Parts: sequence; structure tokens; C-alpha cells
Amino acid sequence: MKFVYFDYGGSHSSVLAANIHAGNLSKTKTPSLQELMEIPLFDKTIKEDFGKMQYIGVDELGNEIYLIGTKNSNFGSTIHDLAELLEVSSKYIFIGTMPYVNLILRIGGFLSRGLSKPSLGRPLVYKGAKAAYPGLVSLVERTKLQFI
Amino acid sequence: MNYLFAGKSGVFETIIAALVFLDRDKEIELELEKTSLFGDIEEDNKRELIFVDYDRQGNKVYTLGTPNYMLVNDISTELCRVAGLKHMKLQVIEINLKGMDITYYLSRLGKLPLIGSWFISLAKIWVIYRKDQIIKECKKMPHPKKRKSTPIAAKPIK
Repeated sequence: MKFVYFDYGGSHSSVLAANIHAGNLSKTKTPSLQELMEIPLFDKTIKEDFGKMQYIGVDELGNEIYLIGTKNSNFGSTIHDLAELLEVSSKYIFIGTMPYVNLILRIGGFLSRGLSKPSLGRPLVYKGAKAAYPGLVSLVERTKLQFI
Repeated sequence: MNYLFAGKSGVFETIIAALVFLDRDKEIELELEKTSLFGDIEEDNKRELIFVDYDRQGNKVYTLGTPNYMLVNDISTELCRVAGLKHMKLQVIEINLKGMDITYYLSRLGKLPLIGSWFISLAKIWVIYRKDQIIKECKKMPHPKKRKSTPIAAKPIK
């Protein structure tokens, strides 16, 4: 089974959730700014990464974890339908992380990735990511309970 | 092979494009009345694939309205690649015509309470007014059946 976390940009909330699922980030401790910046895709994606599935790793049961930035905040139904039409839906579990994106993370993400001003956006991204972290941990936990 | 006509809205110009593909553009206004999907923004707002009809070979024809319609083909290709499929059973045709933005914004205003239906009627009138131009543009596009099927990129998964 392949777990695909998706959000608008594939830069923040989906990166966190996918890395929590793959065991690259702690479930109990919110990572520091340095730890976050060491994650390969966190706040680093570029325009060309939209629509590309990024491999993150495997979970403890060998399920593959991916993420994708869809350039759309409301893409859940569409991606399910596409997978259904392509006859690959049995291979995927799609998990949207947009509901966990708070205003601070949104603004920080826009400044850092949208306007290419990471020096302005990153402090906000970190603050927003810290606030969103517990919610993303529980999303991953719920996903695992439901599907594994 | 199934066909998906993707645009910003899935119930206006994309419906006409699908009907042109299905060779049902002779009496387009009559056809639009028959489909009941034309201008149905409730259907559009679900952000699901909208089934239009089968073509003569029994392939399914869909439309989709989504702001990221230019990425739909890339995402579909990626889903197939990671799933290990060699060929994609879906042809995505992006519909990007002059005047579509006006239709899109009118359809968004269609969400307003009380006066929304007025904007939907306006959007329909705007599309019907341009029907000949839309049909002409759609016929100019390479026919989906004559396009080469999208190859799945041979990139490693990991």
C-alpha cells in the first residue's frame, strides 16, 4: 500500500505528516527549526515540484510513503476519482493535510515559497508548523489505525 | 481509453468540448439543454469527475473543473508511474480558451445567496454567445484519439 499525503504546495504540512508517518520525525516532540530545515523537502520545493510524487520512505510495515503538492486546497475528491478512473485506487491511500494548515503557516508558506522570500517567511513557517504539529501527529495516528 | 476534459470549470466550456469530441455539436444548444450538466455549479463544486457520456467505442468521457487543471495530466501520470503502470488509460485534454476566466468568475459569483442564479444564467448566456468560437477552437485542437498516449516517465520511484 502507498500512502500519499497531499496539500497545496507539497512543502510544509504534507512534508511533516509524511515524515511523521515514515518515522523520520518524532511523534512526541515538536522538532526544532534546525531539525525541520534538515528535512529534504521542508520549505524547499520549487514551482516544478507541483504535481510530482515525492518519495519519503517506508513505515514500520513496509508501506511506501509519498507526498504531492497539488496546487489546489480542495483536491481530495478529484485525486480519489482520478485514481479510480486510472484503476490504481486499490494501491493508494490519499490523505489531505490542508485542514491542519493554520493562517500563520499559510502566510509564512506564501512568503517563503510563493514570493521566494524565505528570510521573511521561514520564522512564520516554523511558528505555524509548531502549532500544526500535534494535529498532524494525530492525523497520522488516525490514518494508521484506520488503514493498517 | 477514457477521456477527461479539464478546465477551470467543468460545466461550461468543457461540456461543449466534450460534446464536440462526441460529434454532438451540430445543434449544440439543444444538446446543452439535454445534458442537464450545463451550468450545474453544484456538480462543479463537488470537484469530482463529471461523466458526460460514452463515445462510439464505449470509452467514457468526463469533464472536470479545478483551478489546477493544467496539473491534472501530470498528477495522473505520476499516479500511474508510482503504481507501476506502463500505459495510462486516460487521456487528459486541458481546455484553456479565450473568455473562460469570465465564465469562471461568473460561476463563482453563482455561489452567492439570492442573486447567485442570476450570475449562473449570465455565465450560460456568455458561453452560448461564444458557442461558435468555442466549437471552432475545440475542433482546432489535436483530436485526443490521434494524440500519442502519454508515456509514463521512466524515473526511478526511490
